[in-house]
Amino acid sequence: MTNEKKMKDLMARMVAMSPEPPEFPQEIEMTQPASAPRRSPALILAIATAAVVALALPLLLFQGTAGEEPVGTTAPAPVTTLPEATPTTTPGPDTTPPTTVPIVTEFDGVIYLIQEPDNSFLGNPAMVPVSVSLTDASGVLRGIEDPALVVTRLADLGVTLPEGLTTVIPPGVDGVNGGVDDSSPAVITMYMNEAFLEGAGGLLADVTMLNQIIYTVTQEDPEALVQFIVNDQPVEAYGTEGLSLLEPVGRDTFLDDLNPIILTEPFLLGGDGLPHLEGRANVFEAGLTVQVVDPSSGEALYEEPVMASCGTGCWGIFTHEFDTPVLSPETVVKVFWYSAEDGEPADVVTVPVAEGAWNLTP
Amino acid sequence: MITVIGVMDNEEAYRLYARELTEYATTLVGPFDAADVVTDACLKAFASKGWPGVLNRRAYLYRTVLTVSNDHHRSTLSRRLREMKVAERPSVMPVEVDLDVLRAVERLSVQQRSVVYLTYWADLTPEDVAAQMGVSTGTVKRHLARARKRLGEWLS
Repeated sequence: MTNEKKMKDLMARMVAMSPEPPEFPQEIEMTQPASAPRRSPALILAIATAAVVALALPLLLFQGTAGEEPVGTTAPAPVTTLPEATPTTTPGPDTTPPTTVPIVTEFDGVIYLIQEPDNSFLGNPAMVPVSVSLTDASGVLRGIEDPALVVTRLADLGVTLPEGLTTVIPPGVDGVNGGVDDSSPAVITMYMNEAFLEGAGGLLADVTMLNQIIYTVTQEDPEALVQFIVNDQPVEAYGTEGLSLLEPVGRDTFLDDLNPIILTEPFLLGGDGLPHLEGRANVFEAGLTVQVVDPSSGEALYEEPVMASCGTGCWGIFTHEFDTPVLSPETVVKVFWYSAEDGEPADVVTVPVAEGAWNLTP
Repeated sequence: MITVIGVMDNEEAYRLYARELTEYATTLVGPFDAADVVTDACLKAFASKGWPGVLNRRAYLYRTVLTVSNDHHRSTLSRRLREMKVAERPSVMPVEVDLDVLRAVERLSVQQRSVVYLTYWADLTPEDVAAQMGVSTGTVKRHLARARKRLGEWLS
């Protein structure tokens, strides 16, 4: 039997165990499961503690006064027999932490990270996609292998990112891809938590955070738009300056807030075919340069001019294949344009070089 | 499979899709909890503010079943199997179980189960599976590859 037939057989046997469908849930009108507040274990523990204290307090007070004779009475004191060596402490609440089984998530995929380019004219950040592999045993990713969730939770995952790359998404932000609709362009729904609304601290950081999420989420369909949802509503005011996100936004919405050279595909050695760079640029006369540099000596081992499809005020796409043996994980790849002003490399993006995916497992 | 694009009432949608959703949920969480997951998913979908405007209700319900199954915790099936081991009266189980199959599927994550079901049972292409689950085609392929790897013993 072929593997495909075995898989089909497995599914057929699984489906054969399917029970009868449940009856139509008539209690829909009465139940509001989506809005029912979920109490955290900490809250439950606090309530339990309060309840125990409330019950224990009168007992303790009673014990404290039971042996005292009432003032001004001649009546014989009641004979009370106290148990010997009985511990008088009231058992407190069970403080043993609840046993939880963290969900292990194995993720292989592409996320977009941020780089501060060298010799930048505008001071805008560059976007660099990176192929990563990570195993999260802390439960932060909740078993959901979603690039959107990984990129929004990088700070909470405690991972070490490739040198020169960072994330601007602050800890506490959480977002999952809620799916794509059938419209054209497609609209992807991103469900974010309220921490997202705070932004990343400053207008440029806020927009960069949006770009980081948008680019990661739209990696399969770069034309797609992203609708950000918080508390079941499109976002009216986001970040430091209350940016409106009522309408879906896409890769082009905040394009001019990025470095004039960005990458749109992860750069990998050892894949199928020649290693290649792919990106977008808006540079003088669309002229770019790619270099392979020996980081120990700073010497350029390889340099080639590359033309983008558009330049000097419009964004074009560029791609370059490296048919050179000098590339290795020890070398550094740079993409830039030579400034017409001083002839120096400008808006330089340094590309992380790896044989395969970057292992980010903490 | 039936896909209806357009507006229909909740009960109509439910009657149309309850059986296939239960089969899907059986693959995701096992036969013991499938009915509960379908009920929870439908309640959640029908109570959602966006539900009246949803055109492809079947896809929406599938996605909600997946979400509820994720919340259901991946260890549930394992726990159920352990419970079965020590159960005094296994006959109270609501369905006839195929332990070999459950133990094989237990090795997969909920997402992997979903991808395997939609690929091999619903015969969807990776692109359609991706659209159904709201993930990228690359993610679907990765899940499939990983699922095949984890099912190595079953496939050998």
